Amino acid sequence: MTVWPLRQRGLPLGPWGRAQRAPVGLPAPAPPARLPGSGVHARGRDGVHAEKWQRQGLGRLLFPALSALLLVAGSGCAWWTWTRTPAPVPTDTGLVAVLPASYWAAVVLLLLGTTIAVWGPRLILPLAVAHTSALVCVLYGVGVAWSRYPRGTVPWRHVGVAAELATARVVDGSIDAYFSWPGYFALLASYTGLGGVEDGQFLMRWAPVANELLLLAPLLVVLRALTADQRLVWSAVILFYLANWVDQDYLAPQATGYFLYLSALGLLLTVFRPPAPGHGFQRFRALGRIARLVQGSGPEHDATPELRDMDRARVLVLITLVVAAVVVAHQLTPFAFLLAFLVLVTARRVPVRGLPLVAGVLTVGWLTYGAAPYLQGNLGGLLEGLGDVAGAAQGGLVDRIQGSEGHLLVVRARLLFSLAIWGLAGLAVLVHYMRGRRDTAPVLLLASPGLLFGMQSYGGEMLLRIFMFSLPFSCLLAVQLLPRALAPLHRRVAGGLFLAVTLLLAPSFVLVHYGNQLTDQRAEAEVAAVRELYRLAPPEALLVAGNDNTPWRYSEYGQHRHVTLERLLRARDPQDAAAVEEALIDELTRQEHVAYVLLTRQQKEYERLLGRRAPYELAAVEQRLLSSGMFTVLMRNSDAVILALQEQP
Amino acid sequence: MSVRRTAGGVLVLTALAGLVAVLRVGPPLQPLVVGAFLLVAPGAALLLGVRLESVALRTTAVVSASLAVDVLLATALFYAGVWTPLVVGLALGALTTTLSLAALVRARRVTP
Repeated sequence: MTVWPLRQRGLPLGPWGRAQRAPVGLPAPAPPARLPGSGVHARGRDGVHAEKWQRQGLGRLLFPALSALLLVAGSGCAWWTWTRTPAPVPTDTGLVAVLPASYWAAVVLLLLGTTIAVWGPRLILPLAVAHTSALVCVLYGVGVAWSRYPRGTVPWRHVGVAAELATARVVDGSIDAYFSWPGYFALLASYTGLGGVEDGQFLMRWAPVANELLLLAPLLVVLRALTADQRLVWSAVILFYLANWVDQDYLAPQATGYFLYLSALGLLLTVFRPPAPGHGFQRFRALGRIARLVQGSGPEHDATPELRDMDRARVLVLITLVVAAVVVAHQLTPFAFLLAFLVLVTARRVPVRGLPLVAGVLTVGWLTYGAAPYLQGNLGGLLEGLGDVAGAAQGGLVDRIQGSEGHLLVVRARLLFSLAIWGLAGLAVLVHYMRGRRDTAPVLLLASPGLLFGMQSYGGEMLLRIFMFSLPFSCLLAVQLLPRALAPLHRRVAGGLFLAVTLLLAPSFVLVHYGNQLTDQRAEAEVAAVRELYRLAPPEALLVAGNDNTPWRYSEYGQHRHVTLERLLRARDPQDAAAVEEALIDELTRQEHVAYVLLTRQQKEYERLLGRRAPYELAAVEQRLLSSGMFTVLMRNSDAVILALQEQP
Repeated sequence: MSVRRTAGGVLVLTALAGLVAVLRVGPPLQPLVVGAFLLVAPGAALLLGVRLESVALRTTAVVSASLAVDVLLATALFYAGVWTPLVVGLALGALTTTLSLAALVRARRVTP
């Protein structure tokens, strides 16, 4: 929210916040109406001058009609692309180089229509919603359109966890970490059971689009709590969807956890009015000044005056339930909650001082009860990683900068992309500070996830998660660099800039989001091989995959031991294919139960694209196993081979 | 939207979801209706009477409340060792029905 400098009160602002005086000889413009305490001068609901020509019938229809036409045209292009164009084969840079021109036409038309809907003479809310939804489907639905199988391998595993819970009907925390945070999978099992969903592939395929669409409402709520300018809200929403490359929207606890995270923050910021700046520090002037400095100037108006105290209490209960649900469903999101609540309460942006304590108690309580089996086996490793910033940087950054030339381009683009978003946000903070705007809430919420860094490397994904949690606030700050739309010219300049930035971001998004499509996309023969593996494997069989790029564990999750070649032979540390052959034969001979080895083309592509972590090549290993005479080929197709030791127990 | 209309809508959705689940109507209707029930009904019942004017705010509150209730209830049933899809459905149905009827009774008392 803007702090209105005293000397400029009553004068309209130019695009860069400077007061403008009326030209000589003309009457001074009347002081604009002001939202009580908001610091924003608003002439209409969307904060924009109502232009004279708008009041004429044609003017009122032209821009909405144009935006609607572009929506239809863009959607039509997208539909035509999906139904008529054969599936492109991804390259090492993913889909960006192979998507047809009609796809890009769809994106351009939709972005143009969005710009008109948001930055036209009036903000056209239904068209803004429609365009945003269409853009989400086009940007995030590419995977659905081009493969009958879900992208990636992790969603398959999640379906398997839910199926295992549904079969066993009890939670066995000793299986793996998923069963120490079973909330999401309990929900998934309940839905598939009640909904008669027998094949989880439909859910897996459409989950990214559904999860991204679900984020629209809480994004609007959170951003509207931080600025009264609706054009900036919608611009930030569009920017969010063009910048959310981290691919955490698949069928997973973190996707639902993220929705709940934004929802709780949005409700908290909207329903609970912050105390007056420096409130509670009247006796201590110095502390009061510091408090005002940190707290800044939050919105002074009540965004929900219609709510009674009892209603606010119920919303607070709701927020507590949301936190509790996230605590039992995901490892990391409760800590993001805790940090966000802490910074908001410390900065006195929300008056609910007990909320961080409640979140902390719930989190620690679950760690000591529900997650106890996981902690017992992994506490040492977790504590070892605590505060290990270098280790987190190694896993999150350095280790990722390897692989083929195309993949390196994608990785560098991801780094630049993320730095650009954060850089724009940082620049906006600087500009705000120089203009005297001191709403600290977006800055605090942008920065609070950063405190997660150094807690743990989180499998090398901590930086991705920090980017994701901070993204809505980065986007809001970034769009605040656009000129304020207080006059038609400024609005057009802002709209033009917005369009230019989004047109630049769209292909960048496709590059960084679908950069791993070559290994993420599942093939018919590969899936058939995995299905055959489960058909062959008796209970308690050992199943060995070449590496993690295997769409397995969606079935019989707890009935077999699933392990990769690297993990199985870790203790022996083989350095070449010959050593792997020897170690594998020895290891499988010792097994009490039958064992199968699954090697696929996609596993080999994975090690080529992302860079081999093991010192041996899977292709060479496969060659040696086949020529050793010790293995029987149980199944072979164009993409995969299943092997079993001839002398099986 | 008035409390009565919302409560009525929640009751209808609950009944529909129960019907399609028990009759095992199958896709696409069964997963769609059950999905709508899980995403909307518990939260809407919980927030009956809370006046949230903005559509986005109402949607956010209802869906997040629904998901939270679904997750917590399902998890509790697993830990209690009594989970089956039917038990989850009955528990959620009972909860939404009770809350909706209570809201209707309150609304009737306020405006006879």
